[in-house]
Amino acid sequence: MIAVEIDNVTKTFGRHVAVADLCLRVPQGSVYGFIGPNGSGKTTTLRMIMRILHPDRGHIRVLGEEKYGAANDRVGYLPEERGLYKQMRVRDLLRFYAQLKGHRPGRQEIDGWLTRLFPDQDPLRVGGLKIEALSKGMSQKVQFIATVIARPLLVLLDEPFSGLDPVNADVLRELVLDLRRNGTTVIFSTHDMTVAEQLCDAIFMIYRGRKVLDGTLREIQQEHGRDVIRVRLDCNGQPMPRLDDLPGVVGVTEFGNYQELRTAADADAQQILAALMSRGRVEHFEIAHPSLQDIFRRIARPGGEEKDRKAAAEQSSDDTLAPSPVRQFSVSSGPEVP
Amino acid sequence: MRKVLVIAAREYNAAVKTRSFIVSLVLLPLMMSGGILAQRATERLADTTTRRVAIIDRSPGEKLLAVIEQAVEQHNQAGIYDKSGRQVRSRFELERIDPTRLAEPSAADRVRLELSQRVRRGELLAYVEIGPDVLRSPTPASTSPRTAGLFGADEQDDAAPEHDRDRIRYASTRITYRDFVRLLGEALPQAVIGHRLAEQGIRYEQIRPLLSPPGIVDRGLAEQHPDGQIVYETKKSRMSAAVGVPLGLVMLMFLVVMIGASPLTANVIEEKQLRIAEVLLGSVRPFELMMGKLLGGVAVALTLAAIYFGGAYYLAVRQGVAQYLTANTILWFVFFTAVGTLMYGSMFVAAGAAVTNIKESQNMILPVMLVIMLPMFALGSLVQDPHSRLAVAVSLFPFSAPMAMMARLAVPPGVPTWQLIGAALLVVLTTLAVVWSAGRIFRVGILMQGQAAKLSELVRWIIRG
Repeated sequence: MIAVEIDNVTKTFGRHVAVADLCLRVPQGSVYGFIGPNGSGKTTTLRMIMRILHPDRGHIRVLGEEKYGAANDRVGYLPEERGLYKQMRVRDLLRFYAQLKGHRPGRQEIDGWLTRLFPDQDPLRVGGLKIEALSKGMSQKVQFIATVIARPLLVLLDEPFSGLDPVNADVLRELVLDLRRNGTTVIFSTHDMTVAEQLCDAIFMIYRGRKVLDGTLREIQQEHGRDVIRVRLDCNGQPMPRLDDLPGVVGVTEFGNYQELRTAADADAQQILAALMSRGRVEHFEIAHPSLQDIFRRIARPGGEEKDRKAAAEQSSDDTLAPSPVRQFSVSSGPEVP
Repeated sequence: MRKVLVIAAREYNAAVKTRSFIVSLVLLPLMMSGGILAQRATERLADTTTRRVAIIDRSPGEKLLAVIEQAVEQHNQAGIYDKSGRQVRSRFELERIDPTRLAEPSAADRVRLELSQRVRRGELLAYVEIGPDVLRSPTPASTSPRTAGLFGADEQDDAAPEHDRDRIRYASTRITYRDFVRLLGEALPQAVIGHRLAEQGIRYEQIRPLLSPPGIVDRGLAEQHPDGQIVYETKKSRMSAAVGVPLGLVMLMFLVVMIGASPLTANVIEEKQLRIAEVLLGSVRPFELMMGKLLGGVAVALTLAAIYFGGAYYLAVRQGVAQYLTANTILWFVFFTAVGTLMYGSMFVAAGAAVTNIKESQNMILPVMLVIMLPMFALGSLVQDPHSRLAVAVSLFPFSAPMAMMARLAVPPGVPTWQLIGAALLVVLTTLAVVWSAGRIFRVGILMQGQAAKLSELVRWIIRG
């Protein structure tokens, strides 16, 4: 069963093409991550799924319905910014948002949610607070309740984790996983690639209005090959020199304690390891898939790298590094490399 | 429709629970009764110190001084207290100046200078000089008795004392304090005229009844009963009520429409700025959202109207003018208030949707306000002559019709039915068109961020959607 079907959808604002010829299938019960730089069309896509905006061309079916508004009562939406009336009290606000979806929650139901999301506070007190009196984390949580209180089958979350401290982010992450356990489809947009890697069954990346990535994390990483080597060298206490002069290395990203080497398609990992050993003690050597963050950067870095990405994908398709005897080893204790 | 009501209920609660609503609820009657209260307060705070006035009576025998003395005595005994017996006005004291001291012109100037200095020092409120020829009958050519009225004559005081031989000179630094002038004005003319008549051999008391003018009164029309008897409408026409009721009704309508409709601009802007609109539009259509807001505004206006109307009706019954508030008038008031709030409210909604912050909204609100104020400018002439061409035109022009028609309607004997129905139809049709256009603007504008829409853009939104 498909929760959201988008077929050849185009949306323009004046001359600006926000979304171009987009196709997407979001299976029911999955957690789908929308990633992409600012202004790439994520929010426009979410708004079209919400039926706030209408596509100029193409079709969108939400929970099997194409008619405007037909599925809306079963769809919850959490916008990027707060979206709450400042002057309303928490309990009234939650009741209002639930009623708009045709659900009439009892007081117990509301207090149940408040108890769950504010376990160390009195739900009676929180329910009586005005929105303007809440901290950012609290109002984000209230908004999350407002999004899911009418028990939607599909939940759209626009940047749900932005601006949250780790504790509140964990609470929210747990709630998203809970939704999935109950069979709810969750689509959320994020800038945080770590969150996307951890939470999502599938990832969709939109860049300049076009789909550039779509699939499970594994599929995406495999498409981008194993062209990354993470290295830590001990150079007798000296800082590690930039390693971009090694044979077969085409790019280096420094992370302080370690460096990530991007290798050419025909590079030999053994040669690189040998060259490294001549420069110092190798503490960590790992042949890896590029992280989502890497892939994101390669696509969205200034100048645009879509061609580059395609080229890299083609070259690495035969996976020349695979038979290498060395996959990963750590020599000494020290900070663990992710 | 259910969702429209959910939104309307929220808007209503949000509006009714605000501080400004409660303040205006209390403030309006305060303002209306404020005039009376302020008057009471000023009376309470009135200066009641005793004031001294110097009188030079140069008329033969100082007869007028005696008249003034008598008037002052009466004033000091009865005229300075309010109903509860508290003193609210100043007591007067007279000081006689010997008129013979003014016999010679240069001496007279010195006396006047001395008195003037005492006035300036505050020892005297004023000095009054009664000319020697005041009692003499004026020649027909000079009969333009220039007395200082309530607010005094505005003519230049260039006349030298010798030109005022047949007048009464009142000289004071406090020209706005008129209590003593009023006292003189009530006492002296009668005494002077009485004296002049007596000189002609006529007794004033004798002809006084002849001088009383016939009264003009408002009375009811004649009507014929079924039994053929002709009777006269017994109800008393009260001018103040006939004018006051329509004025009051229109002011009330203006007020409740403003309180119901004008906050919608800020309300829409808040929803845009806080991205509440996006959440709402995920549940309701833009038109439903707007209608919910408008219905909330109408409910606020009608609530307020009901509260004040209840109070006003109570007052009207107590004042005995309730016959001017007929059921017909009240029903039309409710109708025009509701439709007016819808019409003006949708303009305020559209203004909010077209801009992105409160500051920008000022430019949009101004024309809307002018449209609403339009009938207020013509209100006076509407009530005075409710069947003039202007009145008919203003009350049939849909944007001013609700208030203008209300004003005409409440002036007896009302307006022709065709005009009333015509205005109602025009207002309803225009309201539908305005709400529809506002809905088109709202649909596009509610999600628009960044900058205010230009007028040309608004027109495009309305036409193309």
